[in-house]
Amino acid sequence: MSKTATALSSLPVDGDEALAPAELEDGRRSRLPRVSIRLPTWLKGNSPAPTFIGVAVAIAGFVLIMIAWGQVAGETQVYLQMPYVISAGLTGLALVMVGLTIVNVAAKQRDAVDRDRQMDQLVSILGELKASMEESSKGRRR
Amino acid sequence: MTRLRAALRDPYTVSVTVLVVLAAAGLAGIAIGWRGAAASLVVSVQLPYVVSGVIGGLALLGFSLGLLIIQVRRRREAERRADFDRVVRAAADLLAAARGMA
Repeated sequence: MSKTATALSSLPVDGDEALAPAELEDGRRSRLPRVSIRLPTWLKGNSPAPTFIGVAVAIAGFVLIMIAWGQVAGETQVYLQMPYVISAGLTGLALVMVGLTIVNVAAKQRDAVDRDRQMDQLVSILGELKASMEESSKGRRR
Repeated sequence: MTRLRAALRDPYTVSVTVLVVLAAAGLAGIAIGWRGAAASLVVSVQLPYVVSGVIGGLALLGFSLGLLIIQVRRRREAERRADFDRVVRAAADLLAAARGMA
């Protein structure tokens, strides 16, 4: 294993650990408070489940629009058609938008988890580099 | 032809093409809905066109354009992550060199 690979493998890669706010120089935590809500595993940032849920909600919306069309086309009176337009047609449109929003949030969350992990790796490497340089400068003074 | 084959092997190109086609289908749905509704003076005949063409077309258009925006953003994010990964690797190299010197 190369030296770079050894240095990278010693860094934290666990999701929770990577998401923890970075420790500042004087031992304080960063200004952002750590959220203590425990999400189920399938809802965590790197899980694909929310994306599938979003797509399923959007598909349900399209199905509702098709049902609305089927019902509206089967009636000849406007006062009988309107409830289907509103309850199935517009609700279907709303469900599609909700599904899209879920997919959007899930994608952003996954990207954020990856970004945080990378940033944490860099912070850890720079911290170790600093410690290593301090150690070597102390050795020179002696 | 070879270029087209190479482009089709890239999942990003395929997904963007599919989403653009879906958006075009949404626009076509709205146009068909308008045409059907404009062809009749009876509201009860117009309504099915409004539901299937206009509402369905709007949903398809919004959904595909939304997914397109997400897809483009994720591609950019992946590129940025790859660049940042190079920075992390360079820092790890530096750390390994510093450990070697110590």
